[in-house]
Amino acid sequence: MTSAAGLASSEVPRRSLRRPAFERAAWIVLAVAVAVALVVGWHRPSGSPRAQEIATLERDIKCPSCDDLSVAVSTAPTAIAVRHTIVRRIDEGQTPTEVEQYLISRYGTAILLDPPTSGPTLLVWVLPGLAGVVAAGALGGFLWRRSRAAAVAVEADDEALVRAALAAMAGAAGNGRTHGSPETGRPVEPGP
Amino acid sequence: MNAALGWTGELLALVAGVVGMGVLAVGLLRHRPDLIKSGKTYAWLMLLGAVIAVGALEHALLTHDFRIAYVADNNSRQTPLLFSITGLWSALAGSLLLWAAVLAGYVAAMAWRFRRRAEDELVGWATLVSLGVAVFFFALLVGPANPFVHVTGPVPSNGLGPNSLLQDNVLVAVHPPLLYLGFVGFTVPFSFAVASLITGRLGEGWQVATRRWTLFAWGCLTLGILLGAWWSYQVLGWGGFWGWDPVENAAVLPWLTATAYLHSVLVQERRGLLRVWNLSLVIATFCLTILGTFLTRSGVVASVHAFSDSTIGPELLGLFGVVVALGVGLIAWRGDRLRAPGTIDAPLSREGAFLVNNLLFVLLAFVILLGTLFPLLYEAFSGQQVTVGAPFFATMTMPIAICLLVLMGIGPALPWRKATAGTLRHRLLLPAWFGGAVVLVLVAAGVRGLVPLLAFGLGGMAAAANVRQLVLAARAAHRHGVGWWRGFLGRANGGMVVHLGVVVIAIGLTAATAYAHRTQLELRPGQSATFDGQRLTYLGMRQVQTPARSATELDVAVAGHGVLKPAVSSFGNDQDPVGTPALSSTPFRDVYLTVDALPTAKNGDLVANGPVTIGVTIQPLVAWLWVGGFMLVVGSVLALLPGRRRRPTDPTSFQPGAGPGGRRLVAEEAEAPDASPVPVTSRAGPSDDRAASGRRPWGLGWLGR
Repeated sequence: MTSAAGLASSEVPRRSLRRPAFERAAWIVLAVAVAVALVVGWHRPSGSPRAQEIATLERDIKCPSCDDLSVAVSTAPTAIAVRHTIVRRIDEGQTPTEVEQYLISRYGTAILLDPPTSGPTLLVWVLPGLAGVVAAGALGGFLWRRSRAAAVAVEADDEALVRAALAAMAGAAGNGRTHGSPETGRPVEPGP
Repeated sequence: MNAALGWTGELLALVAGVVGMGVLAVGLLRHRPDLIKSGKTYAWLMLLGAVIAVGALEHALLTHDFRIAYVADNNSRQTPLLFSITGLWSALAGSLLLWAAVLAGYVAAMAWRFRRRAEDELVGWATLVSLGVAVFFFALLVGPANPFVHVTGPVPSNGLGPNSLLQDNVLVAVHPPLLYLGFVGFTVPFSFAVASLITGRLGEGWQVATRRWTLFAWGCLTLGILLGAWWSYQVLGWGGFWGWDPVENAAVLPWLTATAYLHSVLVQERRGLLRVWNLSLVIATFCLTILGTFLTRSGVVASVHAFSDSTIGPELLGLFGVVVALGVGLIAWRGDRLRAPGTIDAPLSREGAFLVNNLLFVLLAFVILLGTLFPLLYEAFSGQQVTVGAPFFATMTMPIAICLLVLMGIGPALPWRKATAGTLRHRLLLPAWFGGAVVLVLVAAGVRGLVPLLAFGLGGMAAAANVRQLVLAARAAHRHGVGWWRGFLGRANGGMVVHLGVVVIAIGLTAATAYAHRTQLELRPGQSATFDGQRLTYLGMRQVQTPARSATELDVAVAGHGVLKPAVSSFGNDQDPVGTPALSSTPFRDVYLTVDALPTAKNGDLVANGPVTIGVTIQPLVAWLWVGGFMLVVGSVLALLPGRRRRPTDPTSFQPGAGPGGRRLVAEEAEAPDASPVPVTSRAGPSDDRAASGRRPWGLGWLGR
């Protein structure tokens, strides 16, 4: 068996696997299955409302004596004290906002790990989205302009040029074939 | 003696740098090849000076020469050998010396690597620029941040020793030097980028010349960041590995722009596009390393990593400003020469995917930069303090990270120039099914949560897509008779291995952060408790005394993990104790214990049989972060090795004369990453100095000239 024949025979099953109808169906089945799985798996059970309020607060309040840790992860004594404060005030019936307000009055705005979404600090929340929109718009515009300008056809003399160059390469490789691969000497087309 | 020697070395390096810059400048402006060629001598002299200075400071640390203030502050007679050595980078002045020495090493390596092109003006300007950066740092060392200053007053009999956090883990010996190799390494592509702008040789020559340098620096930075995360996980005691600390952010910012560049440079090499963009990315990466040093070493931000205050903030900020101005000015000056010769044919193509990739990476860098600098800017304008912490970064970066995972699954399958829906439908079917299967299996197994499920599924798809490319490359290599393993070598294939490492890290990160459980247990000796299915028994406490460390250790038996020994330790003369966490890793979950409170009597003494408070953190899949890091390193090394080089004229996918249309696509070969279709007409002009770098252009356009 010549290598050319091997190449040709290896392509036959590949073609049969590329049936578009089969592939389309496989994509549709996949999309439906994943959508169902995500709907089922979407919701994550997370304790009572009280536990959830406490967990969110602990995640969003900075440990007073640390640089960047929340009281949820810090083990510093100050963090433990704040955790106790949060639990006590929630149990006394305060809302999370009231607890936050109390902690801000006691430690300043910097006690919140997230900057407030009102006032001038709104900027830090809005800018990333804005930058994303601007960047996506710029990229979209760039691609649109480029792909409109890109209608360059391959002309016949270009192809002739390439063919001549390839023939010259093959000739230099010295195996006499018209379209031989110079690297391996392997014929790349299964002759007539 | 040490001090005198150190001063001498620093001065030698500084003078060599200044003289070398002068000689090179004269040679380049007057076009005197002999002078340009002699520039490399000064690089070697500078390295000699740097080695002398580093040797002097190390000698001073090892011999506990407390006449030198830096040694007295960062070393003691009890400091173990390893941490005496690492004392070089335990504080500002020493770490600047390490920085300058690494830079001198890079400049000398450049001089050696390009010795045959020493008369080339591009190399000359690049050497000049890198010498200039080095001169800045040696000037800092001779001036405001000199590690060889004598103590004021009498020489102390013992030193203070390094910061406690810097002397209980060997990673301190590896993480900072790697980070510096990465940070400083970006000076090389930066120097060549500036040189290409100055000489006007704006083709791909400078990128080809610095390809491996950039990749090496990127690999070191990646590994340095990951080892830093590992270090903070093992030492800092809160069970996390990434705190969105300003200094961690400062390290990741240049990493993001460098990663963007590593991708977009492929578009320029293949298609000649994005020249301004690539120059901007390289210059931005360098600027961000300077900004990162400024944030780390100037004390403007509160951070666990800012181990010392300093006075060099204004100088670093000044350098940052100069470099930004220089970069913007040069690009504006050369603007007319930077027009791309080609165009992007279709958005749905490999180059289109790289563009989106770049957009996402730069957006990510912007978000992190904004979050890091916002508290500083806000305080400057309003006088009020505000924190931007982990929840902000997690919320803002998560969507971008998900998009990057999507792109990593699709990008490798996209052909250059233009993809059809049919091609994608075919090539992505198996990867998509693999990712889908991951989601189905996880949901069936009870895993819940939209974001984690998306991350796992998309990670699975990306992994499968990249494995598919590797298999294709290995098969193509085998068919060409060069051994299948050659399909793993080279930039594109090594890149696929790096992608796999990134997927593993993404999965570990998602699992560990989404499904972590923490609690505090108060236990008396002999008592047990169960948390998150893990049974723990507190056995008792012990005092441990070594010359360098005195500690109170707890013995805690953890079912399936043996006995863990979290402790509270005091190091050297530092009376302030720090927690020493204990952890046990398995492929599925990590158990992480800290001592949160010890029982003390009214007079402050320990009560040996009293109740202790133990912090317990249980996180799944943490160990895979480090496995992924290892894969990144392997992939980077593979990418550094030369791959199967396809001759530009090899008819791999485009074969004139075969079939009715004069061309035929051989599916497998066309897809193999190292053998993608060659654009026939897209390259308008060849790059100017490819010949000088001894590379062949990828396109065929040069045939027609």
